[in-house]
Amino acid sequence: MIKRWIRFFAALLPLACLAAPACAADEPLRIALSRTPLSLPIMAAQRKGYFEQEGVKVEVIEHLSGVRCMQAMLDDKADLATATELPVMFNAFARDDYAVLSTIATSRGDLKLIARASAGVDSPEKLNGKRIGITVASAAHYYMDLTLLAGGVDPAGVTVVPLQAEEMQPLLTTGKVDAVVAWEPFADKILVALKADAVVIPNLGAYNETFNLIAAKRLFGKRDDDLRRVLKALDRAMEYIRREPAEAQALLRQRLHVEADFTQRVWSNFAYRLSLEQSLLATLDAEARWAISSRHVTATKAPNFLGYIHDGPLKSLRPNAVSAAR
Amino acid sequence: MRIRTQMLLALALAIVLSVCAFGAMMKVARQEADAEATVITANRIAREAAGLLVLTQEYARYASDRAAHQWHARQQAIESAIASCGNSPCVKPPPADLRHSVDALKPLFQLLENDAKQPDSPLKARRQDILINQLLSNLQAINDQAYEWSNEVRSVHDAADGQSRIVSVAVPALLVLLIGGLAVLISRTVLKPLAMLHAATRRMRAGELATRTHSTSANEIGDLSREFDAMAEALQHEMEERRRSQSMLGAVTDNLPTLITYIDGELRFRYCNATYREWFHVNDEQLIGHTVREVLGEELFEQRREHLERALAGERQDFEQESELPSGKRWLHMVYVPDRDAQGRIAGLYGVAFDISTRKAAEQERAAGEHRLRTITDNLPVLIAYVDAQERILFVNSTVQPWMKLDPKVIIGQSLAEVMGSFLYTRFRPFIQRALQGERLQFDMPLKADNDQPRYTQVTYIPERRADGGVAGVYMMVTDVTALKLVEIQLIEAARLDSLTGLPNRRQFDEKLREAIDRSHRAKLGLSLLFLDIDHFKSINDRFGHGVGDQVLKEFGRRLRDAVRSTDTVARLAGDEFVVLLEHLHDPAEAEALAAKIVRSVRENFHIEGTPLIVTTSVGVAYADGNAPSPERLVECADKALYEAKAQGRNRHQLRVWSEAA
Repeated sequence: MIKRWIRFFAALLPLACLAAPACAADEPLRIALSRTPLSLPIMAAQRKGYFEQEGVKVEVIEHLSGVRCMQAMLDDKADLATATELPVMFNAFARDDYAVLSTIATSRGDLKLIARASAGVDSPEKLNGKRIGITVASAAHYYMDLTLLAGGVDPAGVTVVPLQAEEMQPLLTTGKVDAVVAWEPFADKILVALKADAVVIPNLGAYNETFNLIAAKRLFGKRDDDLRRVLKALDRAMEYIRREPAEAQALLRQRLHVEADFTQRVWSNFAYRLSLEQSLLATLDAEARWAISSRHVTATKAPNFLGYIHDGPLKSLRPNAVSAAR
Repeated sequence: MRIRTQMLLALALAIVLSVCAFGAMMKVARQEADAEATVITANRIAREAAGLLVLTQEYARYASDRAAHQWHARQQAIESAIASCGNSPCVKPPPADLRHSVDALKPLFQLLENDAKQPDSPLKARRQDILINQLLSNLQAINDQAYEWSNEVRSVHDAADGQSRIVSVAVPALLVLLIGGLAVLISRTVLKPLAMLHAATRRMRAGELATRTHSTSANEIGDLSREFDAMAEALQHEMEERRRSQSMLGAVTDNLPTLITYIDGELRFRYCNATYREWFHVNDEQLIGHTVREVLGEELFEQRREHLERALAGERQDFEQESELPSGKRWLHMVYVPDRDAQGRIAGLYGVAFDISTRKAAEQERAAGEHRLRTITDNLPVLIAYVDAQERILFVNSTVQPWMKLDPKVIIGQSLAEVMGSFLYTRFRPFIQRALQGERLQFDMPLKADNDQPRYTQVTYIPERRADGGVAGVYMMVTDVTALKLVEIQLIEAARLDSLTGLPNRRQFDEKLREAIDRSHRAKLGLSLLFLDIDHFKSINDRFGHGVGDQVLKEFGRRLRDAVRSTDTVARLAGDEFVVLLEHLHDPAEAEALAAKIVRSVRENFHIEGTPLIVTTSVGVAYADGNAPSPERLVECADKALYEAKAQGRNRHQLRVWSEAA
């Protein structure tokens, strides 16, 4: 029944597009998706056909990190991207042609600072003077600084080695770096590869990583309905994940090509929910200040992050999920 | 389905529904309450987090102990609020990210507190910066997450509220539906069939015995209806049977020439058959319910009163009565049978009466006839008796009394042998036997009467033959013919004597002659026969008349008698012919001597009426010795001798001796 109505409206869309100039109604939305457990809602929505059911055509392009996803969007190779708040924050210093539609997942424990015991690292202090491989301008970067500072280590005393996610394991195992900050599933792979040699530097669990769906500003006002449909699809996917965790886990394993016990190990770290919260803004501000004070950026003033959230679609879908007050 | 099952199901359904409703309401109320509590908790957490936000800022700025103290207190409050959700049920547990955010607070703040004691340095500043940033970020997150949680819980609360509203509407509605359904069910399966059954029962009571419900339902009422149908069927059948037998009975009772009535304990008529109404000239209206006294009248009632009362006391009455009925005088044989119920009480009586007038009349006729007959038989000089095949006396008239000095009443039933005595019975016995064989007999039986006078009886035996040819008994009639017999004897005697002379007549003589011949043969002694007649008798008769003639004959006879011996026989054959039979002779000279004597005797003058007469006789003497011939031959011989005597001049005798040659 709904399918009929959807098809009806889909048939009407071309007409609707006649009213709006530069209509891209027929074109699917391209989503740059990061291959992490945090992207499960999109994977699930895709697998379960929720996008079609909601009446929106999507095209998913995978990247290995959120940073690269955002870059793809900024390069106009994608319409939507998934990334933590760090790329959002960093890019805000240079650009303003995107905004966060919604946080789609939060995680504590996704990021891990893994050192080699053979490198003599068995506690945070031992990291002083060591080489740590990280993806620059990503959440891992912030995580590293937080962990170091919380552990009483001056981040300046550490040699930062910019790495891509896929490079971390080989470099760590080969000893090119003494430690890496990796996210799942890479962290798990590294641990499995290093086995006893791996030392996970504990952190306070203080860092609440947000994983967000970011959209190119050019879509706003034109494809708000589609954006809303995407969020709806993701909402349904999250409902599905809550309802059928075993199925969702299996899907995750399949997409990420990981073993069965991987999902068992990491599942409790992730929470999938649509929200645009005040804390996101606060976090963005805090991280911006960090970026400035750490001289990762040259600016002296943080951007106004109010302009980097677009709450229209989410508000129309679920008003209570939006607590980031204007 | 059975009504019982239906009711049980309905009951079960109602119970289940009530329990479910109750449970649902409880659950929903619980949920609401829990949701409410959880919302309160969430709000508290949010409030504390908000407070912590301010305190963190304060501490960040001034690092005051008071702020630190308050900070810890608030953080503790948040932690206990979250923990409280573990004890009492929270509709939704605090989200994991909220818990993680809360967990992160204390370590961060403690690092800050430790740092406060450290001397200032750029590193310290950077550390403090990042730590405070994280704290603030986390606190904000807590606030947001608490709010989110609260919203979720509120939505649960609202859902519960909605559910509660639904339940509070649905349950009564369902109950109403259930009641409605039950009502319809009851109406359809119970009330309607019951109403039909009721109607059918009413129709049955009104007399429509053909009423049936024709129910096919499988439930209890259906069973009852079918039982009703069966009962109605049986009742109808019985009624028809009863009607039939009643009409049969009515046909019988009304058409019997018998009175049939039923009278209750108060002597009221309850039933009378048609015959009763006919004879007493009443109809049912005048009869049924009225007392016997009313209907029959004082007189008739009095006739019967005692019998009625006795019958009502339990005694069966069987009596005959002549009554003057409206339809005429009748003799009735009446039977009153008391009607006893199961407990033995008399409820009334059945009266049956047979008209026995004809019979009675016949009886009376017969009695009169019998009486007449008796009178006759008793007064006949005839002894009448009837014996059966066993010679038992079944009837005897009163003549037996004077004749045999026996009481008729006593001897009835006794056997002939007993009554007669052996002597008499022996004499009669052969005759009785013959009669019992079927022979009709009549014979004479001389009896001896009391006074030794002879009694002559004539006995007639008439056997009574049965249809199969056997003899049922014998009618016996004994007539006293003594007088007749005496007369007869006399007659016979008369027939044997010559009435004039008194001499044996020819008849006797013939007998005597035969006998004498026989004797002569036996004794081997001579026998002589003398034939005589009076000479010229005819002229005597002519001359002097028959009267003198008779006298002469008489005298002649006398002189003959005188002349012979007592053993000799003198007889007058006819007219003036006489004969003398002499026996026990030895020779003919004896006969001749007597013959001569007779001749001389007769020569003497006869004196008849004073006139002397001269009479002479001629005698023919036939003599036979022991071989005397037949009487005829002897007579012939004597006759010849007489002829010879006559031929020789009369007044003399002539002898002829018989022999074969002569």
